[in-house]
Amino acid sequence: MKNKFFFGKFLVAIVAICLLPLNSCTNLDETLYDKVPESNYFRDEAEVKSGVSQVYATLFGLNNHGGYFSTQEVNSNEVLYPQRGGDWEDGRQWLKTYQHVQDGSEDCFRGSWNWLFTGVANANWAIYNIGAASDKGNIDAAKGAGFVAEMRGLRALYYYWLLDTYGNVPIVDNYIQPAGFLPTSNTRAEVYAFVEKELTEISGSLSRDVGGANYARFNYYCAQFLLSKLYLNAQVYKGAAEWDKASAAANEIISSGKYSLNATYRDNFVTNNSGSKENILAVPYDKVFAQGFNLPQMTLHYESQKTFNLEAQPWNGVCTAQDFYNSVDAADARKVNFIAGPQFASDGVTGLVDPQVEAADPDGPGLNFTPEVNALFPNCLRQAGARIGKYEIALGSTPNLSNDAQVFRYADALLVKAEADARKAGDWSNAGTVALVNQVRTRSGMPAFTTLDADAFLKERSAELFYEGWRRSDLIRFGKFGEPTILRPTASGANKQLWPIPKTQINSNPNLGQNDGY
Amino acid sequence: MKFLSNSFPKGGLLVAIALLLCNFAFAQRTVKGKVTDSENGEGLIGATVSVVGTPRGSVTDIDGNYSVAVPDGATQLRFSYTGFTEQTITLAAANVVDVALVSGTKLDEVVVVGYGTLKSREITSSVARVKAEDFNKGNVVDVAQLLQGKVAGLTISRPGGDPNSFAQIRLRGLSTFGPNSSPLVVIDGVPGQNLNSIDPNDIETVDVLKDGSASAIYGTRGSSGVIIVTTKKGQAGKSAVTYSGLVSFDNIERKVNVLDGSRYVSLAGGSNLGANTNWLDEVTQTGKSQTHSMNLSGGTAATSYRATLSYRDVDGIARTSGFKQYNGTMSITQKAMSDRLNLSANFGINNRDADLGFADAFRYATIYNPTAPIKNANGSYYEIGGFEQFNPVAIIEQNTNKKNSNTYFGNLRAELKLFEGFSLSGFVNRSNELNKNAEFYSKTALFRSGNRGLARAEEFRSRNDLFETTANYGKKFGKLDFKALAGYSWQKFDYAGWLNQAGGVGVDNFGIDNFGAYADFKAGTATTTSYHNDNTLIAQFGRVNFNYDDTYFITGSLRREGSSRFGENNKWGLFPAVSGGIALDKLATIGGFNSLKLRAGFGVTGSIPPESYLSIAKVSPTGNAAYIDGGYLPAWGFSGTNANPDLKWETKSDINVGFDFALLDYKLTGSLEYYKSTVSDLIFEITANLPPNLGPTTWANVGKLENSGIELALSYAVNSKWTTSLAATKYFPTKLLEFYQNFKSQEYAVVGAPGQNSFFYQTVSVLDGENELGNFIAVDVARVGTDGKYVYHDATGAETTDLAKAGKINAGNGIPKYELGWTNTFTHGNWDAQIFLRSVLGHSLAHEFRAFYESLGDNNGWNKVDTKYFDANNKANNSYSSRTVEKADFLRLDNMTIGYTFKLPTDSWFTKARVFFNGQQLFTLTGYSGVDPSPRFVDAGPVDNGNREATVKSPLTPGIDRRNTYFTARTLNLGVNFGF
Repeated sequence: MKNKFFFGKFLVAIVAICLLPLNSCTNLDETLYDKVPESNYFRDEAEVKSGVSQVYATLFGLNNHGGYFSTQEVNSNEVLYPQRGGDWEDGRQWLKTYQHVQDGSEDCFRGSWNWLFTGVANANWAIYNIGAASDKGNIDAAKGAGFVAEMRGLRALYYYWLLDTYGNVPIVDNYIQPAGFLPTSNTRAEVYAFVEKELTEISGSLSRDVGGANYARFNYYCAQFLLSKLYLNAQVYKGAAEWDKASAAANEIISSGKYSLNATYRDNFVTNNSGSKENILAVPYDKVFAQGFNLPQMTLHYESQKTFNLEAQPWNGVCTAQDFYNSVDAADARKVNFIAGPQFASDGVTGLVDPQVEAADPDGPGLNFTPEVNALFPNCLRQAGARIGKYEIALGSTPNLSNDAQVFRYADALLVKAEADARKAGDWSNAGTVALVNQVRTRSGMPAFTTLDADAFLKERSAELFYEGWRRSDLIRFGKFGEPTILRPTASGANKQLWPIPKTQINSNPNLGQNDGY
Repeated sequence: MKFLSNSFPKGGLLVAIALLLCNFAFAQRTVKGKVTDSENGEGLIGATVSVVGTPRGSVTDIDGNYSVAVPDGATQLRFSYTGFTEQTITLAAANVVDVALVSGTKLDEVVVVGYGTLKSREITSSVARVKAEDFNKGNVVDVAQLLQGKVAGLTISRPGGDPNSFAQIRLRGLSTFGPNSSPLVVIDGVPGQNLNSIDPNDIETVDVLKDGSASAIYGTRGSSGVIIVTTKKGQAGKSAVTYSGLVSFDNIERKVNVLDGSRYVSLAGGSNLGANTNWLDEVTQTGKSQTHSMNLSGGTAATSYRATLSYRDVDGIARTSGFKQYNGTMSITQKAMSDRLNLSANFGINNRDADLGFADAFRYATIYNPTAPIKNANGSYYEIGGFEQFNPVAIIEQNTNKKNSNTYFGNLRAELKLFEGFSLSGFVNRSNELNKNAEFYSKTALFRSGNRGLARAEEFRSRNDLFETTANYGKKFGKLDFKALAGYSWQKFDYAGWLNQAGGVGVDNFGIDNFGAYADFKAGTATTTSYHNDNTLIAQFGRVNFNYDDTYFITGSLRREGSSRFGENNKWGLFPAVSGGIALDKLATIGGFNSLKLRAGFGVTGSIPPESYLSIAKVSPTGNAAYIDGGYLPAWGFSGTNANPDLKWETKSDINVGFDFALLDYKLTGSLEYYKSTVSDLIFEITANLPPNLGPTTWANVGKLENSGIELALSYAVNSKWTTSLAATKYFPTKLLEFYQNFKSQEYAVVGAPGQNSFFYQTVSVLDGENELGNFIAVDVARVGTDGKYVYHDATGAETTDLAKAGKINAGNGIPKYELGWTNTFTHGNWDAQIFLRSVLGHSLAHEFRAFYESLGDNNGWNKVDTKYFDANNKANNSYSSRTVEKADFLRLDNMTIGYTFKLPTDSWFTKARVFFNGQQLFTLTGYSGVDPSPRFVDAGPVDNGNREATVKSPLTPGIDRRNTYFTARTLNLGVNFGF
């Protein structure tokens, strides 16, 4: 071949060319500058703790707008996001959630699922990496085991919420999975058993210290509180009651003597409520370090910015359902949970005015939160609905409150035991139950009960635990979830007690089953 | 064979031998002469004269004269000039050789392909060239505007008249889901450059590689096509100085009409706040601009240089928007080692100070209550307050939004001719881009500041380092002309930046200049972030070209390319291409055709993901801190998207078949071609399955896309005074053939607030018959009922008033079906004129203002848009529907120029003097009721209440005319060109 000669030369040239940038000729390794490869982290206790911190930090999404908590609350008909003209239509997700006609395509059901399973995944991630750090000797094995127990506790909390809402969900308890792994749905009973097993197994490894360094951590009493809730609802979750176990778990907390009721109800919700003795588990929100608690933004009217000198304009969203508002006695100190009536600037005397008030508003432009909510949609008045004042709003607040949000509260533990004992005894007026309920009730200036029935008990729970995320499971347990309310005049079926598995997940994972009724 | 001169005349061999003998006697001699245009006898400046068989050569001076040293043994001189047929002259005894070159055959025009050039006749793939004289004229604020409508298949859309916005460029439709759906820009050999880092006046030619067989040599990033920019270089001969100047006036061309105060109150039930304000007038102005550009060039046979300095000061039609830009470039070329070594160095800087202003002002000027006064009696701005209520005048007068950009580059190229036909070259380049954004919102501003003062400073820089070596070989074997190229390329991109944002300051004096004064820093609520990442691309590539007798042409290329962005086992990809052509006119006489070439090509190109480190699981501080051991401990967690070590190259394979032809004695030339491409393993950020994933999204290879089209380019010299040319494209629908996992269809592009946050414009689907991208799926509104509410069509076409029963239809498609560019050039004596019309047809736009502010049923706190669709009886609630999707076909008089060139006396100090008057975007014919019917190729999603538009824009949902479009501008320019 004639051409061999120059092809040969070519080859030499190419080789010469490639030799020029010797070391980097084919080097395509990646260098990270602003992140650390996971495989290169968790080298000491401080780094392990920063990972533990991350799993706790996933809880900061709890009280953020539009998430799991909001969906629980709206679904219970305790609060609502009415559609105010052009505002808050939000693809009808809140309307459908309130009316119990959701189908799983709504953002809020997708977001709730994603948040809960992100919590699970973060816990799995931490459990795996803490284990690996212990194995490598990067952290003291006993300390590592303690952290793992806490992480399993938090994972059990997320699974408890999943059990309570979506019911039949996949149990995934390992971070390392084969590529393309798509988990399969477990039954609600299996999820129940998983939560029970996890909490039981870790109880011995959890700290029994309360407050101080252990404040807002998943300690032994958190596990007992969660177990008490699990058992209290066992009839709903797995079809068999566990009143004894519920009472016993709650009693572990009560008899420990480590918790007590605050002097006033409001003490639980003030800006500086950290370290409260009534607080078993809280999300320790902070406007700087632990952001996400944006209740004032969610609930207050645009003009209310001037009442509290808020840094950002609120969104005029969530308000209290009229029937719920009315169910709390006017004399009850717990009425502080609601902001109603004419509104004033921070000087307390200058009345606020809403320049865009609807012509249809009978009160006119003066800002006045009426307990009456004229419509769920489409033209709820801008000023309708008592707003949620449960947590103190400090003057000059940013969109991130510093109040700690209640997750497990001692008053609830008292009521859980009261209820379990009553149901076990088949008598709402048994002395133990009445005494426990009165501890909670009289604090808020209400006269003590001498006798009780299921309705009175539920009403007491409602007043005490408004906007703490328990209303939905309470109504289901008391068989009242589907009953009509003012803005939901049609009763809903039992199969709306479970939430729909979000369509996005069903579509992309064929191993997931949909709940009955969807 | 009429253009070929490689066949010796009879007896040539004897002559050659005789010459050879002569050359033994003369060791070296100097040959001089003049190269002229055969048509008019004028000297050709910068024509290349080379001594065949040696590296010697020269170029002609400004009068066309040359002088070249002819060494021993050399027998032929080759004369070439862009646009003219090359001639080879066998030397006789005479030392003066004058040559008249023949123009008009275009076939010998040199076209830049990747890493080299080819004669236009040798091109077997789809390559289009636009020369400086064919560029769009006028006040060019974006280099892409130069090419708008000039190349079939290249759509350049620049919706709105914002001087600081850059064009969306699409070559042959959508070919990737990634944000990088614009063609790769290669400037003077440096791939991945910003088209706007150079001054428009410096561009000599732009070559567009349209198909895979042409762009595969660029492997990665070639899949959206390649735009190769060649800048002007100095040429040997007399030095020259030129000056161009331009003054411009911009006025609003189109806007959205709104109700006046009295109609707003009476029809829409809006609150009467007592004043009567035309908010649109209050936020706009006549934009006055000026441009000056000066360049110096010249050189000797061994050294040539060119330097440019330019300045442009542009004002937009929105008050407080505009920019000032300074460009400086310098290039030097030096020959050495007996002309065997050619060294060239280029440097450039570009400095731009932009007032970005606030496009939001257009949005709020459109919807703000027209009865609201601008200011209160006490001089403060009147603010209605509440959601989506911002006084537009306050927005632009109280706040500033500035950007400072600096780009600078330097490169050196060395080319060594080792022996005849074989050369080695090396190239190094560093390009830097540094951008600084500075925003400040007054302590009295509601917009973004919440009346507490807000400063935001952002800096992002990028660096592009390139090292490249190539070897070129070319030789003729009888009738076979063979060229080969082999090369290695190493390129590294480095990106870093930071952002500070803080609020709370008692004075408006500081802007971003004293961050320490802001309360948020003390409070711990200020934002400060920074980032840094890089990626490397390494490639080995080769290409061979065969040209047999100027009749049969074959090109083959192969690039092996690796990107650091993929996981360990997927870093490397192979990108082959092959194409061939036949000059049919050489084989047989085809009636009327002066030339006719059939060509076909196949090529594979690739795309890399838009982010680095996607295969690695990473941790970093998440910004929050949980309460651990009695204090807040920063949380470190999983960061970014779920690691995907299996992510691999997205590849596009395409075929291209075309004809190039010339008729009527070359008066009519053109090409017709068809392409079809399939993109596989589309890289896309998908929603991850939860459980088991940790992050909400994963970058994955998700599907398959298909695109096809027909392109026609025609140019006809009607007579010596009028040339007309057409670039036309027919786009077939973009089809999604596969989509990931079990997704048959998914909704994208949220409509937005108020009230439509869970409505979507489009569905991305692989269901049979629904797999076209860009379809608007909308509720089918039939009409406005007598009660003012909508009457819908249900799925069967029957009318219903129940929204729940209303059917959803395909209300249009956001992707254009046709694009036409029609250029007419006239010359008459000293006068010249150019008229350019452009039309884009077949696309629809979702007119978002109408979807929110047209019906009178709700949203009455905002003004209503008063288009031809406005109906005072329409009392429905506002929503996106089939009513608000409109056909957006348009015909635009894009550019018109009239120029006069002065005849100068021979003793004039000037060598050239020309004045011209130019108008841009003079009128638009369209039925579309929005501001600009231009296609929208990407969507940034909804924005409301003064929030910022997303920086990552999706190409999945084209055609959405969001509420933040800057109004379009009509520009009138007066310009001068002088040569000294």
